[in-house]
Amino acid sequence: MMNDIRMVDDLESLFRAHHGRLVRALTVACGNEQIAADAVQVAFVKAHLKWRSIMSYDDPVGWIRRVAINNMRDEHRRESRKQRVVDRLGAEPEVQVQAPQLDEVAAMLAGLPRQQRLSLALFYVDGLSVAETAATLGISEGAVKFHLHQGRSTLRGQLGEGVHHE
Amino acid sequence: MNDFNDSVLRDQLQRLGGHGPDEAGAYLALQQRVGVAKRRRAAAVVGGLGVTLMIGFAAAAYQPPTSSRLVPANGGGNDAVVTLPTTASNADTTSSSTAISTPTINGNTGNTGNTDSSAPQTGTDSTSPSPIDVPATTAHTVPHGDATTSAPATTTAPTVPATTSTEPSSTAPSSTVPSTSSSVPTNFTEDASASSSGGAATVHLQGGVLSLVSYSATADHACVVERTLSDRVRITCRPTLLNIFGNTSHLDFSIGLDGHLVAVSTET
Repeated sequence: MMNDIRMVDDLESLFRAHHGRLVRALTVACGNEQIAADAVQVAFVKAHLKWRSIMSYDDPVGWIRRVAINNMRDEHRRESRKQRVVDRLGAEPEVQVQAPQLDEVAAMLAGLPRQQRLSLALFYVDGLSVAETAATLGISEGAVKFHLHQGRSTLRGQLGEGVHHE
Repeated sequence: MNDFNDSVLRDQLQRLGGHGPDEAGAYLALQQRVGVAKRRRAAAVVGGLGVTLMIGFAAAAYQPPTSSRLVPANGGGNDAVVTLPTTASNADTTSSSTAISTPTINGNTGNTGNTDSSAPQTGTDSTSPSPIDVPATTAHTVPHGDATTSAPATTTAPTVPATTSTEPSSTAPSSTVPSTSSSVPTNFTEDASASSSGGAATVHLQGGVLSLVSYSATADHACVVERTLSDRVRITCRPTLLNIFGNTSHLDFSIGLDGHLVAVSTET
């Protein structure tokens, strides 16, 4: 995978190769496709503006992935602050957005800790290895294995046999 | 790695991730967003440069306000002619009085004095107005262009016996009057000028008391009267903001041991 990344020398090829997969992974991690798509696009815009320096990195896609995850976390914090202000003022939200109906797996994913969700999304959806997941999240490989084990056990326990036989 | 290779869970999660966005549309949106970001960055750079230039011009155009101007001690008119009589104690001295121009007040140029051959030879200077005195405690700033004093930049010959009439040089670094005479008359008068790259000044010695006659600054310099005592005058000329490579010069006038004027010009 690293060799493939180094062969990609222009941003457009890199975008077409990784954008969709990254959006899907972050959608699984945050549960909102719009937020995930926006975070990934902002990351690619930043990469475009400083592409001359980023293209010399060992793993430019890793840089974009980390920036996208940070954007997603910033958006999550912003929404949390906004919600706290609304709760403190006791006001009704201006527009009550109808939350999408989550299926069983999505509802269980939403109940997992954020680090476990990110580990599962990057490992199973984006197709990263344990080492790449650890590098992206800035944690050790042992921590990634722990999060994968915990998340997988939780999902299996709550879904029961349905997951295995589907 | 193999412990986590769960194809069923992988399929479930990938299905949850959806089909993903339209790549072509997403790339077009990316290009539009990059264009907006580039325009915003260019606007920020241009704005920053503009603000920097404005600050630079404002700093360059700033000039410290003038605090005061020279005023004749007796409040005489602008066209006052100062006639300095020669001392009468020495008969060998040629009877010539020296007329100097007075400094200009409020931008008017003083008239050049006339040589008055009929000046009194009594050694008194009752007919001549007193030179301009500047209070010792006040600093006077004369930026270039404000001080239009028309005093000559040369040194007038002292009206002492001819044996002591060596003129102090008006050029830097220093000029002194040799002390060949053992005694100096009480009403001894002498003028001295000194100049430097920052400006020039003229002082007048009469009765053992120094007084500043005029001073002026050269281009891109501002002169300040730092000290005016009865036996010592110091004028400092500093470069302005537009002349960052200029030197600061000091024009020092004092009374030597022999009673004559000593002018020293130093540059730092």
